[in-house]
Amino acid sequence: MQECDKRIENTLNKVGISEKNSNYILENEKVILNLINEALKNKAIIMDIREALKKYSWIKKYFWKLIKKNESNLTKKVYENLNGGYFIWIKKNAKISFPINSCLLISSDNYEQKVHNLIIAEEGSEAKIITGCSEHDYVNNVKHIGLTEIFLEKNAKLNFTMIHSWKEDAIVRPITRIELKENSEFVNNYVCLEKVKDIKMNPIIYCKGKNSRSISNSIIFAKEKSNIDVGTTIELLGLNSRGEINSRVIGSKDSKTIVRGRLNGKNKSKGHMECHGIILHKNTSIHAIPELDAQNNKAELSHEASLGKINQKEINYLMTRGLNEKEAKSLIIRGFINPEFLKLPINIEKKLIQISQNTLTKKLTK
Amino acid sequence: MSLLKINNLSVKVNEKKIINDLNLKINPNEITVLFGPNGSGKTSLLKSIIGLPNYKKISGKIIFNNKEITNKKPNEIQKEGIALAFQNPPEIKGVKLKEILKICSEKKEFQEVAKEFKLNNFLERDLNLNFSGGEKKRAEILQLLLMKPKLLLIDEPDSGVDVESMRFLGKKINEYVKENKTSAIIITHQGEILKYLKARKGFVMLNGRIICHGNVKKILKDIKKKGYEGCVNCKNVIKE
Repeated sequence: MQECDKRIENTLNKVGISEKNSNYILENEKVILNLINEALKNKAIIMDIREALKKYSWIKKYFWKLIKKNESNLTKKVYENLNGGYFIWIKKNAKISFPINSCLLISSDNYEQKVHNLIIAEEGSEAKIITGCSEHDYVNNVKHIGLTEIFLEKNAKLNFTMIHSWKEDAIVRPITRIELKENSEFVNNYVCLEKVKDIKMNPIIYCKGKNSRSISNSIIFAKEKSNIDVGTTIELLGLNSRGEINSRVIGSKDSKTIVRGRLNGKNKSKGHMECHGIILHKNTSIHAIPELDAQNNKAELSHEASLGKINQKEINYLMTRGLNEKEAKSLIIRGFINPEFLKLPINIEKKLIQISQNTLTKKLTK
Repeated sequence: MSLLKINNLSVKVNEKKIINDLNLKINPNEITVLFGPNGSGKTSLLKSIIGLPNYKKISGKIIFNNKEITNKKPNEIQKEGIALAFQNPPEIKGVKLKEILKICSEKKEFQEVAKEFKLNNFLERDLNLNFSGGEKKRAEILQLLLMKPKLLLIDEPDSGVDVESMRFLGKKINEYVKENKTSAIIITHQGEILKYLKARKGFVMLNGRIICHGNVKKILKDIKKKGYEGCVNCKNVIKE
């Protein structure tokens, strides 16, 4: 069960994960790897959700709590025909420095993968989770419906990164909800750097507890003909809760991207949202929809957005430092999607940098 | 022989003529100061020399080191040996000061000199993002000197800088020019920086032209006394 063939290793590479550091791999509906390594021993449990529901009956009070079974056709489908998903349980006060890696893969044509993940971060725990979702290169016409419910107990800290690497045939519908208790801290990262037919998602983060805080970052490279509609909603429900949404989008050839962001201030709270987009080619669109909704006179919400081509002043400036135009643009794009703030593993950081360079080997129109 | 020669240069930005049939000669091994009221074309002149593409040259020539550079790109002009310190440099997100210094120094050692410029704690920071006015100026001059130019173009090194920083920057520019036998064109409004570096020649610009040249101290004294109004009415205006 712990042997991965070359085919899977290649697909894992696309989302920056290797077999060696994987803890859970689901291929279609089959668990092909499940490993609790030394770093996780006595600190965390990771297993298939179908198995977990049998083993730990207490998790039923969390399962389907934030997402309702019948809220849409997508949720109904997952409820009626569950193909798997991971259960990650980070135990009380456990501090895990290595990221917990999971991967959801599709390996058959016309396959519709329906998964439901559950993460429980117990009181005082600290961890990083990376989830990669992808399909093998030879597969066509796939659909991925991924439900994820995440619970952070008091004082828990969780950094959750979702990395998508699809192809032009894939339809992707993730539904993610997160609940934060008192003093907990949640960082949500979303990275999508490859082509995709159609992605639609809008995770909702409920900052319920007093002093709970959340940051949601997205780095999107919308490639040829991709249709991307992603966003984040943060509900600032707890006293002194804080929320931050950062999106960086690069739109290239014929892609359409909608970036949404919504901050709901329902208590004394603070929220800030930033969305910046660079449009590289003609016939490319980025539509930013930032929304601020303050329902309490002690809620402070703000936003900043900018869309356009690469700033000519920055190009000029770098050219006076000796770079040619292409090198200057490349450096600006690299800086724009600099993934450092996500605190990702080095190999994924390197991949992002490589992508900006690859793109610039093609001619950039003004 | 002049290091830089500008003959009958006219420049447009967005269809507006901002440099008007301008002539200028810069000798080797000297610091020249450019005076003039706001909007007289001082910054535009420096940006035209360095070849920024939105400064469209409609006539005239720029000769540097016996080579025509009129229609060259900024990176080509930089390679010829001209470098510009901007008055308002852009902030570039995700690009670190360290990376820019590496580019300017062509990957040579810059750590020590960055320390001297009190920028060693800024190396990992995004370029100019949340830098104070003084920090931006120090970063600009540091980049300028790392590029080892033969001609330094410095746009208002003394605006928004405290006395100590100004003394330091003045000293550094002076040292560089002296040691490397290079030239510099400096724009200043109040002339504060001139206390710390040795400039002899001054030019006054008005409406995109050089209207007067002479001893820096004398020009500065006159401007302080009569303002640029005095320049307009001056009998010694160069007629071209």
